[in-house]
Amino acid sequence: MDTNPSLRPGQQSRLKRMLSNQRTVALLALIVLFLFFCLAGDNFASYTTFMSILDSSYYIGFLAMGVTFVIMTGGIDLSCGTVMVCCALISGQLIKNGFPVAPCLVLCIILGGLFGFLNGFMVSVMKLPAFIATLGTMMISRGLGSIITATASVTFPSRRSPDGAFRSIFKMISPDLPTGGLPTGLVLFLALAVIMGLVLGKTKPGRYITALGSNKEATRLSGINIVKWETLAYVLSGLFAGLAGISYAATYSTLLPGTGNGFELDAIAGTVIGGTSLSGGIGSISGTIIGVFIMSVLKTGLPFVGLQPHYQLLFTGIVLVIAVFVDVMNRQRQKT
Amino acid sequence: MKKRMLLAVALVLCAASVAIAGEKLQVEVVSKGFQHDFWVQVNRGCTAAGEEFGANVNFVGPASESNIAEQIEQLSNAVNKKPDAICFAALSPESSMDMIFQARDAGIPVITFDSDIGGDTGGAVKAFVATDNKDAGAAAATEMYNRLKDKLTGSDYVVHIGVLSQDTTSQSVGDRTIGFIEKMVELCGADTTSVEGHVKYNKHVVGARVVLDVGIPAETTDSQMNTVTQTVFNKSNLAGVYASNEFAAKSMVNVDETFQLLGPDKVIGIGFDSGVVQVEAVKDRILYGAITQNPYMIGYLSVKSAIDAAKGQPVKDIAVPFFFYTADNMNNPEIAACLYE
Repeated sequence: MDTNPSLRPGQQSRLKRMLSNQRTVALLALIVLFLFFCLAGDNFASYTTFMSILDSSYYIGFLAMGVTFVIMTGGIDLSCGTVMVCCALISGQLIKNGFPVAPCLVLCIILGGLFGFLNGFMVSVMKLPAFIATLGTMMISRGLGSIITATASVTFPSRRSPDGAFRSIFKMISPDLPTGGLPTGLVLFLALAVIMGLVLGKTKPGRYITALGSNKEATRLSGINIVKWETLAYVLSGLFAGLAGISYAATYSTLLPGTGNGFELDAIAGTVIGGTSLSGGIGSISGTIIGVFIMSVLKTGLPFVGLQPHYQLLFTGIVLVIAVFVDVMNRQRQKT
Repeated sequence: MKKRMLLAVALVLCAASVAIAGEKLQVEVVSKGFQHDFWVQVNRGCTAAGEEFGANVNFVGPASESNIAEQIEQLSNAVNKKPDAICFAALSPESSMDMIFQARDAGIPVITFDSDIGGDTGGAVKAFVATDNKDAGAAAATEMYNRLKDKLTGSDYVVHIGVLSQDTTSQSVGDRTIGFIEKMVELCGADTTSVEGHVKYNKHVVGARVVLDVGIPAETTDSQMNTVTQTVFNKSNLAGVYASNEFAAKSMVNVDETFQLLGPDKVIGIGFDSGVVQVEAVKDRILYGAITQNPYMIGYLSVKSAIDAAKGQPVKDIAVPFFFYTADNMNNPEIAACLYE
């Protein structure tokens, strides 16, 4: 969705119109950043770096895709990070206890969906503010993960064991393949991004979710079942949190109970950098993906130019503020 | 009548349980939590000592190793319970000082284990039971140096050695890091070895032949740790990488899945502690080896010292032995008993 549907072609020059779209600005920023690190960093432009960027993007990317739907409704999902860890801990604990891997991974996604449903129910039926409802779920999921694992870490089967085959969903490694492996996860990631982009932009559920965020009352008065569509947005966020849990386990092997706080803010930051408005009704999945990659390129790239990792937080913060400021400026210009 | 009888029985039972509880010493153990399997072994050791010497042991720990506040609350609860002794592994020495003084004022002896508090505790801390982490780090440096001697002394290019560390706050992790760095600098020659990458350890030497690249993440998350590890793996002429705890070692093994640098005739990786990922990597000779502590003994000796201190017997610091394990010796019973998944 463009941020300025009111503008007719010819009203502004093409370039100006492009620059008034936050997503385009974000894409340009991503390209500039990437080129900068390629030129300025030693060894940055390499296949292994590319793989590292992907590795650190999947889980935040999945979280962000899901949370985009929630933010589109004008809500927020603070629980997705801890739900992700909780789902992975529960399914990992089951695998540890001898259950087969495949059903446990499916369960991981379903559990995420259930947490999402809980959020959706609290927000749309019980009318709790989204911030409070999902804050509650954040604590519940974090506590539940610690209880079920008795606060011990859970390690998923290693790549070398037959049970570790699921890791090839995200990265295929074998002596016959190039060093660094094949980024199979990118295929899944982009396929889901395209599907979710279409769902959000071109289908009935997507339009209703967008309408909800623009004007909830008007949407309700026009006879749309807002409870259903609002809940769906939270369920989607939950399902993606479950999937993010699997990708996290595939990349980092071990999950620690009590962690997960902060991931939701990374996901929300990526979404917002990509042009989704926190007040709802405006945004896109493609923008979110761009936002997520801006953050992971920053994170991976800064050490290559000799900056210590804590600078990543500083720069991500600056990028976030600038991105939203550009958006605010554009909207003000449209009003006048 | 019946009621009175019941009441009498209940009273007798109560009195009996108080009497039994009164005989048994109470030891409160405040650990760093169960996130790492290391602590499960420590807990086993504590329980075993409690059973052997007849004390009730209550073992607690925060949900995560970054939850300093939660640990302080647990320490505070432990002090308020007025037990006979407290065993404590500090996440943050400075933050726990007040509670330690409170324990001293209440006359409760404190045994620190794994991570010491340091500084003047006014006699509150009776003994410190742990691996000598500096020694252990130095042992890792010696093992790596012996393996890389030719490369480190005979190369006509600058050789890089990576040093990965989870954080700069914990005393145990810090000691292992500085122990490794100091020993490696000593072995390679102080005037030709440069330490770079983190302000805490930096010691730049112009024209160095060997560079130690220290990598420490901004926060203890997998993704931040991996970023730091990748930076080290990207150094040209990398000869060895040392990781000073399970978390950092796991990151080294994970990142190597992409880079494929570690191996017997490639980059020499040395880790610390156990954990599934690390132990398997040593078994498969991806890592050359790792230092293992003896967590069971640390727990056992801490509670034993606590009981002795509670009885007013003299106690002193104990350096619990550590081992260097490789694929070749990891099945020795003495070492295998220290490894955990």
